[in-house]
Amino acid sequence: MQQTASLSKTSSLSLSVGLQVVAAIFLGAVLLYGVGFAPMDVAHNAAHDARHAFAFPCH
Amino acid sequence: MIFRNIIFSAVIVGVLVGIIYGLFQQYQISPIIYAAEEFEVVEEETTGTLHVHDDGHAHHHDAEAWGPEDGSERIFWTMFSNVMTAISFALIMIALMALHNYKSSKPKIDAIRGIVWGIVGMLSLFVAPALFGLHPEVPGTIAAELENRQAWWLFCAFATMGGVAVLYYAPLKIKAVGLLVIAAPHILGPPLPDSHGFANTSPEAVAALTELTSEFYSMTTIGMALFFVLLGACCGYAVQRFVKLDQAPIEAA
Repeated sequence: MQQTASLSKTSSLSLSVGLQVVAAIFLGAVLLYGVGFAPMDVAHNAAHDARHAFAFPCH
Repeated sequence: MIFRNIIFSAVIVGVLVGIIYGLFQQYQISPIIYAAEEFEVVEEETTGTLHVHDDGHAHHHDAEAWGPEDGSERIFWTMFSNVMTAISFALIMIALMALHNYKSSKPKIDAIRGIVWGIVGMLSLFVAPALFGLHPEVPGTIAAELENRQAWWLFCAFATMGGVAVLYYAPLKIKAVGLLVIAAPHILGPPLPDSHGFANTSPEAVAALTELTSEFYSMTTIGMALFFVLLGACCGYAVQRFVKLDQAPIEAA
C-alpha cells in the first residue's frame, strides 16, 4: 500500500518537471519586464542606467 | 523540488553576477551616461503643470516622477537593477538548462558548457538586438517610438534564441530553418527614427555625444561579454550541482 502511494507520487512529480520549468521561466520573464521594460516613470527612473547599459530600448 | 532549486540557484547566481557586472558598469559605463546627460535638453512641459481647482485655489503639481538622487542613491538603484536583471536572466537560463538536462540526449550542462550558453545569451540579448539592430544609445539620442523598439527587441531576442535552438537540437534536414529564423528580424529591419542624431543639435554637443556613443559601444560590449560569460558559467555550475532532475523523485519520497 505504502509502496503504491510513493510510486504514484513519484510519477506525478516527474510529470510536473515541465510545469516547474515553465513556472521558473515565467517568473524570470515577469521580473525582467519589471526591470527592463515597464513603462512607469518610477520603474524607468530607478533602472535607467542599467537599462541603457543592457541596451534595452529606453526613453 | 526542482522549482525551488532553480529559484535559489538563480538568486545566488544573480546576486553574484549582478554585483560583479554592476561594479564594472559603475566604473566604465555609468560615467559615459552621466557625461551624455550633461548635453540633455530640458523639455519645458515636463517641469510641472499649474492645476486650478473649482474653488479658485491654484497649486503647482510636479509632473516629474520620483527618480533616485544623483550619487549613492542612483548607484544603489542601478546596482539593484543589475542584480534583478541578472536574477531574471539566471531564472530563465537555469530553467532552460534543466529542461535540456531532462529532455535532451545531448551532453549534460556544466560550467564550461554554461559559458557556451552564456555566449548564445549574449548573441540573443545584446549582439543581435542591439549591435546589429537598435544600437546601444547614450541618453539624448533620437530614436523611434519606444513600444515599437521594445517589440522588435523582443522579437529579435526570441528569434535568435529560437533559431540557435533549432540549429542545435533539430534534425539535420531542418537546421537551415534556424538560420532563417535568426535572419528574420534583420530582414524585417529594426524600427529606426526618421532622422538620426541627438536631441541637442549644437555642434559641440553633437561632437561630444558622437564620441561618447562610440565609447558606449565598446564599454557595453565588454560589459555584456563579462556579464554573459560569467552568468553562463555560474548557471551551468548551479544546474549541474543543485538542479538534479534524476534525483528529484527520490528527494520527494
